[in-house]
Amino acid sequence: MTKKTFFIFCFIAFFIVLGFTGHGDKIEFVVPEGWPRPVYDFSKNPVTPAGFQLGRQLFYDPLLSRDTTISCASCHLQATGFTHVDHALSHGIGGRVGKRNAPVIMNMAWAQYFMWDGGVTHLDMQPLAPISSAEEMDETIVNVVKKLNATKKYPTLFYNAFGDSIATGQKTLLALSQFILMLNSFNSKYDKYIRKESGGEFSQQEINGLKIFRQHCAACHTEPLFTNQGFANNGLPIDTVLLDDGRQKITQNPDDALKFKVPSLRNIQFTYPYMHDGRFKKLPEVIKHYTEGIQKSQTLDSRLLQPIQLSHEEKIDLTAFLFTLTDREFLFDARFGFPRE
Amino acid sequence: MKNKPLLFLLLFFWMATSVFAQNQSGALGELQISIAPKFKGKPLILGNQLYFSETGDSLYIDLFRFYFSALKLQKKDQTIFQENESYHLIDAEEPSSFVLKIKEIPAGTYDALVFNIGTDSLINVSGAIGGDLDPTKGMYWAWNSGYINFKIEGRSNSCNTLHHAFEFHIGGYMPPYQSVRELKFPLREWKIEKGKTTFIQIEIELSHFFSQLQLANTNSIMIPSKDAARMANYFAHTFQLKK
Repeated sequence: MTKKTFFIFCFIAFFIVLGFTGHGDKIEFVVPEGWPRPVYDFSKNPVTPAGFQLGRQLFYDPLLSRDTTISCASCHLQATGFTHVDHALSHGIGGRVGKRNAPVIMNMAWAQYFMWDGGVTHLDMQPLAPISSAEEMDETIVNVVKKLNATKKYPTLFYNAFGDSIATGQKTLLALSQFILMLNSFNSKYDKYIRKESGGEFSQQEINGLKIFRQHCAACHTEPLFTNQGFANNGLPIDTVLLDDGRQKITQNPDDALKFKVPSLRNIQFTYPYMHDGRFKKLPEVIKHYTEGIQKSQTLDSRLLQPIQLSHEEKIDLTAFLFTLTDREFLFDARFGFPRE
Repeated sequence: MKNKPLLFLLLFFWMATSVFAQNQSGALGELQISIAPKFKGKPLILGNQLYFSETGDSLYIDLFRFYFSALKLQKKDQTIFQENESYHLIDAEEPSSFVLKIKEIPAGTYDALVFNIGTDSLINVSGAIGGDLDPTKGMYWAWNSGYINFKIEGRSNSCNTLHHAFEFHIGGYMPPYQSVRELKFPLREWKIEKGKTTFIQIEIELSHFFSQLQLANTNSIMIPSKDAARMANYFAHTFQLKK
């Protein structure tokens, strides 16, 4: 082989390798077309491939719990929009049952408040709640950091992500944020319909459903995120066992009694059961609540004072539309799955 | 134009003098603040030292921690020196945290020392931060986001609680129950001199905190609330400046 052909060979080989590593594994935060500006300040924590991978390892690692049995993914499974499918109330360490339904994790860069009561006000700080909750991971961030620093695996990952192999509370949380910030759902049939892309052709039923949705639901479940990021009392009778008064516990303000965060409806087909305590197993029960089940109280959202009236056909159309919010590309994106080495 | 050389000359002088002025203001000194937690005039001892409050409680103090932040020195003309990244966790268990060294302060006469007890609202919504603000420092609330501005824990026979414990974890940055407190101490003929260190002492007389309450009634405040804001006021009154 002459020197020249050798160089050409190397040149081509380099691009082939580059092509393989780059394809399908790209980690870059993008704001989908027509979406608002994210709330999260990326200048303080830019997402990098190494930071994302560290966050992914942490997300799937039961080391975060006291007895190494529970990881974030225990209650936030990718295939169901990162929520705990089939569990009204999630169980954590030692089978202890919590007070609320595990919320979905998606499009978190646009969220201002976290938890059903909005008690957490920054994405970075959110993991502290489940880590320290006695019903969930029952651990302390101090101990998590201690355990991370004692492993063989993590010092390298921390070094790759932050240029320093020593884990701290800050860096652990920043890495988790980097992973979570990438969990974005914007390729559902609905999104393709809005972008007029192939695969986004709506049936007449789905078009009707969207119309009904915009008329009755969109004030709170606002497009494109399908939440207005606010809090509302949606007329659920209070559960007499849980006696959960929602946001009032955080603000100490009686005007916030029985209010909970308005959840996104993206991927709603798979995020059952529904509501803050998971009381409804199926979508028809949810729709029935809004048409027949609203309980009036001091803080009931004014938009629900008049019952929503829907015919049997309209309910079916609405459900058909809600199913267009399913984003299989997101639910089965290999980048977000369990990290296999 | 005939005046062109003159114009250049003037420009040169203006630049030269401005550089000179910069050099002047470039004279820097240091400040060393020592923080002295006390109980009735004597250095605070954690654990087995029995204390008596003005209100008749006998008590032990097991933990005392707070954030000292946003340090400023103010001149008569209202110009201000502000420490960068000014967040310090003072922990009675870590005497090294009692000494704060602030470098690169412009020399001159200052007439007020200003700082916060606790953390400002901005830092409470800034995400994960390192150093003294790292959440592993045990001064962050997980379920109702925000920094704890100060913690005072101990035991008293007046408390009808488990192990007779009292716990004050005071924080909250959202209105109406903000618990950060700004303190301003006037200074007289007080100078930072070029290349020198000026010393100042801040005493915290914790007995003033306990003289405001009866531990039998008030022994556990752990959430942002009206009571927490009141505790923050009591705590603010324990600070005194000694030169």
